Amino acid sequence: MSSAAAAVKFDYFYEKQMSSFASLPPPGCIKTVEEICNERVPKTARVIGRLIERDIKSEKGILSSRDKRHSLTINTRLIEPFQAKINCLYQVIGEVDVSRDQREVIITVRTAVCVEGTDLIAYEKALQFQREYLYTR
Amino acid sequence: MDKNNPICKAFAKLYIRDMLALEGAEILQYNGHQICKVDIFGIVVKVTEKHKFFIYGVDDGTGVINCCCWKPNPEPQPFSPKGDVESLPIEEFLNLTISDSLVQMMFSLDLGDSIHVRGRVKRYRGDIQVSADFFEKVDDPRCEREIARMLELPKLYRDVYDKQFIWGKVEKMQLQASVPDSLIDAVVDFLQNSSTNSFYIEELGTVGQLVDIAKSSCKNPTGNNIMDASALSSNQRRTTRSTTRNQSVITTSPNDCSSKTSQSVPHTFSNQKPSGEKYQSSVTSSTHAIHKLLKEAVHHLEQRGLVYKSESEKELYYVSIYLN
Repeated sequence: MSSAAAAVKFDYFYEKQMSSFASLPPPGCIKTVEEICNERVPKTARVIGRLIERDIKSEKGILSSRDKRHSLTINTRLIEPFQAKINCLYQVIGEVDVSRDQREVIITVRTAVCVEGTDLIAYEKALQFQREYLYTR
Repeated sequence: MDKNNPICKAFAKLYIRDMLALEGAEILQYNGHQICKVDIFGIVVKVTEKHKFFIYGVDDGTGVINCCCWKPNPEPQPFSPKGDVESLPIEEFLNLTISDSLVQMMFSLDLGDSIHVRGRVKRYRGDIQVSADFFEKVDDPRCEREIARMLELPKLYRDVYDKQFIWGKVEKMQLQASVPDSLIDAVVDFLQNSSTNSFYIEELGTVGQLVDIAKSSCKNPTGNNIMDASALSSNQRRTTRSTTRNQSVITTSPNDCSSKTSQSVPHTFSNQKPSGEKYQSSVTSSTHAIHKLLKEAVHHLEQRGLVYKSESEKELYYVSIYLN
């Protein structure tokens, strides 16, 4: 690419910093509960899990995976007061924090939507199909 | 507008990550396809309300983009002004209140709601943004639409967006008959070397090198002298008055990228736009022939997808990034 076009691109990048709109939150990569627990976690994630426990006072909850083997903690301070249906599926987007000993993973949830009735197997298949394409790029 | 490629007329379903990475200064392209309109489905992660519109930050898992969604105009009732509510009959009053609340319901989305947006994609102060022609709150309690979308997009990419658009062979042959390849190659070289983003055809006529090639290819049948370069430069001086159109200002700094000005044209161009002024009577018909040849060469490039004709101005052409 010629230098002028590269300069224009750089200007766009610079102008982006000065853009009047406040910066948008980063995108939440779609992950499953197992992936968040086992593998290297992204900074922002979107997860579907079953809300099995919820404590209003400590603003915490627990999402479990489809086969109930993995679970992760969520911090609901940003969405309280939050009407929670226990044992229902929730799709949450939030920032992922890993505690120092790499044991506990907490998601600070920004949005939570009840998606009870979702076919999780179909969802995971579709996610896999999409990833097969995205990872080839 | 790229007339032959159907993608630029359709609402392209792209991943938001690709939309944010669309290349090009004035025209946005993905893999050689010009993208004018997009279709987005995602979750609202940020809501900004202004007086006349909402700006929703939409996240589809690959990226977040701002969508500008206009609020509906409050319709002026011709014979029953809104302020005069007490004197309305009960049916009209009910209609007014119900329609107001419906509008409120339909048009206010919260964080976490799924949204489906269709609109034009463009740059606003350097950022890519979608200006919604249509948007709706999607009621998707079982993620069915999300699943359908996840299954649809890779297929679309593989079948359409990642493929190159192939130009019709017939048009190629017809055009090649009238314009010599050397002229087309010279125009391409010139556009690449001068790194312009947009140009007018008349400006090509001021480049000596192109004019020489065009001259040699259009031989005057009566054997008269074809105009030489000195007469051509005198034409340049005659048309040095700048016109009132703001878009004609040619600057060398690439800073004003939001407005549609010709950018980074090198200093060898004089500061003018020959806005369809007829050439002086002293000009021989050969300049018309040269101009016609250059025009056909540019049309040929347009068919090949290397330049795009501007919609707003008659003679303005944008250069595709694949030429740089």
